[in-house]
Amino acid sequence: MAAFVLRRLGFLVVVVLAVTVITFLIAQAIPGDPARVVAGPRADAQQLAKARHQLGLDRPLPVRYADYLGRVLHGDLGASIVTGRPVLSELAARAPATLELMISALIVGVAGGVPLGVAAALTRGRWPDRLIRAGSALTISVPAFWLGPLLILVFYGALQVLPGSGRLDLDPPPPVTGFLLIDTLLAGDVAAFGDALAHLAIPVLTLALLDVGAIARLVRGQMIEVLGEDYIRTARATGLSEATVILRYALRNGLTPLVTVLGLSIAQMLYGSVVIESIFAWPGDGSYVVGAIFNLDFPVVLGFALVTSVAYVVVNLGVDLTYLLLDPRIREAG
Amino acid sequence: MSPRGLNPTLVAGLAILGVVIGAALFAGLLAPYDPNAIAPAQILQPPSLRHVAGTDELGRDMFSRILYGARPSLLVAVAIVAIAATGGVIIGCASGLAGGLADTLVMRLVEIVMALPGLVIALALAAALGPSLVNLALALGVLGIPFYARVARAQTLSLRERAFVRAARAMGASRWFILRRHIVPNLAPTIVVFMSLGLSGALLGASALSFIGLGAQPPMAEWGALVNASRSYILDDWWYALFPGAAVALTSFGFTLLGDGLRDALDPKAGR
Amino acid sequence: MSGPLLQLSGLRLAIEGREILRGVSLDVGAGEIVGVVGESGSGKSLTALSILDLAPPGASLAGSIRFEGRELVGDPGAARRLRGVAIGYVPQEPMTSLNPTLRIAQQLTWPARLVGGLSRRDAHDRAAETLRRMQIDDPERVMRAYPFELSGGQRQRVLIAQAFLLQPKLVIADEPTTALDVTVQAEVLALLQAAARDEGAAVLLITHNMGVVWRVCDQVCVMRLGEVVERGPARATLAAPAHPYTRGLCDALPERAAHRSRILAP
Repeated sequence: MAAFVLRRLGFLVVVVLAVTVITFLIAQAIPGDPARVVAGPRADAQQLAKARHQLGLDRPLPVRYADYLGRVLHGDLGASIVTGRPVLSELAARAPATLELMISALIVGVAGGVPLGVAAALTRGRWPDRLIRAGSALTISVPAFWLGPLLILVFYGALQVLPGSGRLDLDPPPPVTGFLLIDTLLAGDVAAFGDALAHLAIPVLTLALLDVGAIARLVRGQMIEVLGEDYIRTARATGLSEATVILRYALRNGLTPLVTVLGLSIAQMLYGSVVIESIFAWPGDGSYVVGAIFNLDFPVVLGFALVTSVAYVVVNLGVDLTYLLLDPRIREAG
Repeated sequence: MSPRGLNPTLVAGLAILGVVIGAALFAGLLAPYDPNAIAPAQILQPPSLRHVAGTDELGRDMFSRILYGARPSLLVAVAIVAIAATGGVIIGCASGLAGGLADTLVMRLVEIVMALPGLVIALALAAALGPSLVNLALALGVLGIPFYARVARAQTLSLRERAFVRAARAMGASRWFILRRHIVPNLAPTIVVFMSLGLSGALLGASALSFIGLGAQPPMAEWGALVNASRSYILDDWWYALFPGAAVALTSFGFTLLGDGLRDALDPKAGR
Repeated sequence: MSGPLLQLSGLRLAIEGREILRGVSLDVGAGEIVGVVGESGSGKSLTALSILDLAPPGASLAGSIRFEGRELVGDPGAARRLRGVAIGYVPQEPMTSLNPTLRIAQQLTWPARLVGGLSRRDAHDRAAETLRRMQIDDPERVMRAYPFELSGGQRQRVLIAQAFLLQPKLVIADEPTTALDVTVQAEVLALLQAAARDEGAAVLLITHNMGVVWRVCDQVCVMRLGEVVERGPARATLAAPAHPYTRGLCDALPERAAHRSRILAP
C-alpha cells in the first residue's frame, strides 16, 4: 500500500511539473514582444537587444523555464498588469467566493444525483427509470450559460423571489474564512446569513442541476452492474431481505466509483465556475479571470491556469487515496 | 456484436439531429431574412409573425441568425471530436499493438494529459493565441485525444489476445492488416458511441468558450456568441438569449440521445 | 408430514415470452441426494433458481412447487422466507459469488444474525464451526480474509458453509464443482455428501457430469430442453437407461466405456 501512495505522489509531482511547462510554453506563445514594451516603440536594434538582455530574454529556453519554475515554487506567479499586485494574492482573495459556490453545488448535486441514480437502477425498465434517464440526458445537455439566465429570468425577473446577482445585498460580516455562510453565522448575523443563502440559490441551482444528471447516470450504471452480479444473488439466497441486500451489499460496491465522479465533477465545476460567475456577477476567481482575459492581463490568466490545474490534480490524488480505503482489493494489489 | 435495432432513444436523437443538420445545410433556403441585414427600425422586437424569434439590437432577424449559426456551431463540435477521435484511435491502437516500452511511455503521457483540467488549459491557450473558432477547435480537439487513445488501446489490447487475432498472426498477417480487418471493425461501435456523446460535450464546451468571448467573433452567428451578445438585454428582451441557447441545448440533447441510443442498440446487455 | 420434502409438478417458466421450462416434475425426499443432470441449456439451473424465487426478473412461473406440502408458486413471499433457513443454495462460480469488498466473517455472520436471529457471539461461533466442518483448517484466518485472498476450493467451501449455516432441510447445489480443478472436485463433492448426511439434509444437485451422479446421488433426474425425460434411482437408471437421450449421455461416461470395452474384449 505504501508503494501505491508513493507512486501516486510521484505521478502528482510529474503532472504538476507538466502543468508548469504548459503554462510556461503558453506564456511564450503570447504575441507581442516584452522587450519592445520596455525599450519603447522607437528603440533601435541595439537598444532592443539591450532590453532583451536586461529582461533575460536572450537566454536559452530551458534556463528561462528553470527560472520560472523557481519563482513558482516560491509562490511568485508574477504580478497583474492591471493592478500591479501579485497574482497569487489576487487569486487567493477571491478564492473563497468560488469555493463556496463550488462546494455548495457539489453537495446539492450529489445529494440529488445519488438517490435518483439508485432509484433508477432499482426500477429499471419501468417509468421512474425512464423518467430519470430522460431527465438526466436533458440536464447534461443544457449549457450553463443558458440555464443560468433562464433561472434568473424566472426567479428574479418574473417571480422576484431571489436576487439575480452578486453575493450579498446587506452589509458583509467581518471576514474570518471568506465563506459568507460561515462568517455570517460566526457573527451571529442571521439576516445576512439568509441573504447570502438567497444569493447562492440560483447559481448553486444552475451548477448543481448540470451535475445531478451526470451523477445520476453514473450511479445508475454502476448500481445496475452491481445488482447483476452473482454475489448479490448469493446474498439473496442466504435469506437476507431485499432492503438489506441493497443497502449493505449493492450500495456499498456501487458507490465506490462515485468517488471518481466527484473528481470529474470538480473539474467540470472549475470550468463551469468561469461561466457561472460571469453570468451572476459572482466576485470569485472565475469572473476575475474572464476580466483578465479581456484586459490582456496574461500573468493572471496563466496564474489561474496553473493554480487550478494543480488544485485539480491534488484533489484527484485525494480521490485515488479514498478509493484505497474503500476497496480492499486495490490495497493488496498495491 | 449484433445490433439490436432501432430503439426510441436512437430514433429521437436522429430526429432531432436531422432537424438541426437540415437547418444547417438548408439555412439559405429556410431563412426568411439575410442574417447580417441590419434594420434600425426593427431593433429588439419580441417574437412575432414577421420575426419568429424576434430581432437583436441591430434589428437582425434572430431566426435567420440562428439558422445560419447552426453551421459554425456544428462544424466546431465535429472538428473537435474528429481531431480527438482520429488522433486518439491512431495513438491508442499503435501503442496497444506495439507494446513494450513505447506503449508504456505513450500511456504515461496520456495519463499526464488526462490528469489536467483540459478546459482550463484551453482557456489559457485561447486567451494567449487570441480568440478564434479555429484555435478553439484545435485546442479542445487535441486535449480530447488522450480519452480516445485510452479507449482504443484498451480495446486493442483485449482484441490482440483474442483467438481470431492470434490465428491471423500465426498465419503471418501483417500488423497493418490485423489493424484494418480485425481491430478497427470491433473498435468502431464503441468509438462511435463515445464520439456521439463527445459531440454533445464538444458543442457545450465550444459554445461556452464563445459565450465568454474566446471563440467565434462577430458577426458570426455561432450560438454561444449569440447568447453572449444577449447578456445586456436579458431581463427586458428575453427571447434574445432564449432561442440561441435553446438551439444549443436541443442539439446537444440530440447528440446525447444518439449516443445513448447507439449504445443500447449495439450492446443490449448494457441498457445504461 | 407425508410425501416428499420437495415436489415439483409440471413447472413451467417463460422469460420474455420464450418458454424455457416446459413442465418439469421431480421429487426430493428427506435426506435424499437427487441429481439433476443435462446439457447446458437444459434448464436445470433455472429449475433450481425458481424454487427459491431467484429466477431473473421478467420470468413468469406456472405449475406447482411444494415444499413440505406448502405451495410456493404464486406466493413469492413464501419462497423468500424459506431462503437460508429451510432451503440453502450453493452457487456455481466461487470466483464471483462472494462479495469482493467484505470479509468472509461478515458474509457469514450477517445472514446468521439477520435471518437466523443469532447473537453476534453465536453467529461468529456458528460460522467458524461450520467452516471447520467444511474441512477448513483455520476458520478464524479464513473469516478475517477477503474472498480474493482465498483459493477457488476454499471459496467453494465457504459457499457450501454459507448454505449449511442455518441447518436447512434442503440444500440446492448448482454445479458446485464445475468451476474447480479436477483434484479439488472430488474433495468438495465428498464434503457435500458428508455434510448432507451429518445434517440430515436433502440435496438437489445440479450437474452436467454423469460421473458425479453415479458416485454421489440416490436419485437422478435427466433434463433436456426444459423437460424431464427420465427419472429414477441413480445407479439403476444409469446402468440401464430407458430413454435414448439418457443412453446417449451415459455412453459418454468414461467409466461405462471402460466397462463396455472390458466386456467386448476377446
